[in-house]
Amino acid sequence: MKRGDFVAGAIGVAIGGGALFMAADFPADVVMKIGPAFFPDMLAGLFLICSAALMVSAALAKTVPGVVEDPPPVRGLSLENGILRAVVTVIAVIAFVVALRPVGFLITSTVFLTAMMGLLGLRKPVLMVAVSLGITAGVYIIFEKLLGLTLPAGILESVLY
Amino acid sequence: MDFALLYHSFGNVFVPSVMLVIAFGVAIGITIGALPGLTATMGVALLVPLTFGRPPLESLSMLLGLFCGAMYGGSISAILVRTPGTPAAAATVLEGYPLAQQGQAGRALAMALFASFCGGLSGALIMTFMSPLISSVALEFSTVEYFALAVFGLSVIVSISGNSILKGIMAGLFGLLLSTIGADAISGYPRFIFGQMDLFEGPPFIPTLIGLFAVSEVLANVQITKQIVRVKTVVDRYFPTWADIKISAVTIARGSLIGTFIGAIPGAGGDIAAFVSYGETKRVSKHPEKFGTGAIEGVAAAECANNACSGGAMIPLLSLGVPGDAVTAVLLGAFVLQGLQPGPLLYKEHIDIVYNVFASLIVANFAMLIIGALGIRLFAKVIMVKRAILMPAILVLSVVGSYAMRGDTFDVYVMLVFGVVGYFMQKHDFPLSPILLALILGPMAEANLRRSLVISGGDFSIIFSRPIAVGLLILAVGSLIASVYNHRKIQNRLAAASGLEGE
Repeated sequence: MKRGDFVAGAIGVAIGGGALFMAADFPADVVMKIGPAFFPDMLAGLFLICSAALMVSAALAKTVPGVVEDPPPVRGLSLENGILRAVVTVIAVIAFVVALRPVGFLITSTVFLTAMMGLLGLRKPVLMVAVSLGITAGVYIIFEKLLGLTLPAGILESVLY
Repeated sequence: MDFALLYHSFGNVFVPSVMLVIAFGVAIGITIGALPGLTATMGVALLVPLTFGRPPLESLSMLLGLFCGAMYGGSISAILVRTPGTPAAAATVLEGYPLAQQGQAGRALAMALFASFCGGLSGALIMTFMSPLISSVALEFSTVEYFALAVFGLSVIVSISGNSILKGIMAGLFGLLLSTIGADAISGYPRFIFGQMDLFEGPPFIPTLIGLFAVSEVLANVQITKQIVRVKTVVDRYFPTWADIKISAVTIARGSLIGTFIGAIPGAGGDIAAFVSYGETKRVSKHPEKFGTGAIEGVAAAECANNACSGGAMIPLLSLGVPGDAVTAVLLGAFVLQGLQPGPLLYKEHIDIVYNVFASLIVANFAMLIIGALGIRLFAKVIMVKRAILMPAILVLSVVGSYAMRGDTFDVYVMLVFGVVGYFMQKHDFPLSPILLALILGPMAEANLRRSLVISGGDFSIIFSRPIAVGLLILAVGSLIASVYNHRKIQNRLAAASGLEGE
């Protein structure tokens, strides 16, 4: 039993089934016979079959003894835990996006960068803030000044414009 | 081949603004290529947003420069830290790192640059002469052939990427399903949009791209704490010695042809080209026993093939609109954003653009030679930049790049979703490039199949009435069957080389 593949197959079956279910509501094309549901139906059907095949092969597969990782992965609520760092990264990006409009790019980006560097184990405050400011300024100049695209100014609106 | 037009195109490229963006693209490309964990695909994905609102020639030149630079850049970390900066440089590790250990890193780097230049230039020249020929054949294509072509392109990439054919097919089908999101091209009926008007035009391309190829890599990278260790060596050369060039001349010529040819096959990328070229060189060598201990021809074979591959991969992209690998798939997206749909029609309607692409890829190779030689000491230092600084910076670029085009935070969430999906897919051995190709080829396959069926009144036999289409479909099925047999062979070879990374 390969657990990862079994779960992946199950997710695939769910997606394929869901797509077939939704496509059943697409209007039929009376004139051309082949309407908007034709292609999705075909793909979702094939996807469902492949996913089911993956589930079956995963269920039948012999369990391979896990590779001993060196050094052993850290678990629990510690920044040494790699998976936790990835989860925190995703949450940090969401926070970045939520704050982007109201607070503005310049502040959000600097704070985000400094916090992320801290998360990834950098411990030199002056360097972290300086590099964060530099990267933020660089991105701002490229997008706002060179490309003429607008990034949210947020609370700095009156200062910047 | 229109030489007057080619000459004229060089005139268009030799203007300060275009030369500047090519140089910028090449420098960024070498840096991204040299940094382990950042691939050429990721680089192009991150830089595509910088082309919004710029003229097509400038935008495409910059991305071509990046493509070209990244292919060479991978060799720097392959030689100095035994970690290929891009998958295409995996074969370079085999001879490059032993050379560095013997204190000859400068010699290896100079040869890598010279071979990359020769390979890249040959690939670009072959592309310039070949793709007009192919596109003139393709001008006869009807909807049925386009459908078959899309299926062929997908089947090849599915069969060649990843460890499992089943997972490759699943990734392709998943991408095709994603491509049906949005308004149906024929009837206009909105499919799978879940009430989100932002999805009406389908999943936004750039955010999807950045999510799959940049954010997913960052999520994998933030979990690693190990720092890379560089071999202590002096980078003392800018150009290979005459003796080294003489040893490697035949190898470079052979590698250029192998690379261009393999690059032109949709689905086969620089990694495979480099290994085939390396393997051939070792096979015909009078001293095969020297390989693995620092044979300079080995570096030349691998590096010229992976750079030639970039020219080769442009052939099907420009002439048929079918990208040869993941990077060219991203480039295809950049063309489309500029309002240019590669393929036979591009030759009919925008022949000037096509020739400008030829000219800029040739110029980009010269730029790579110059910038690579002058900046080698700097690039050798860049690879030591801490992950803790690099990864957050990539995330900021990803967010801004996804946001900027429509000024819509919805797009950033799309990016994040695809980042997480891409991360899990890669972790469980599902290849990502079939998704990207499916997103591009899916609408092409569907629209053309349905148009064909409209013409035939719903009769499927129309597909089998056109010989070229039947040929392409047979090739598609054939490539899937062949790959089941060949898969293990290629994978073992790649695994043997990438196994070096982990040590």
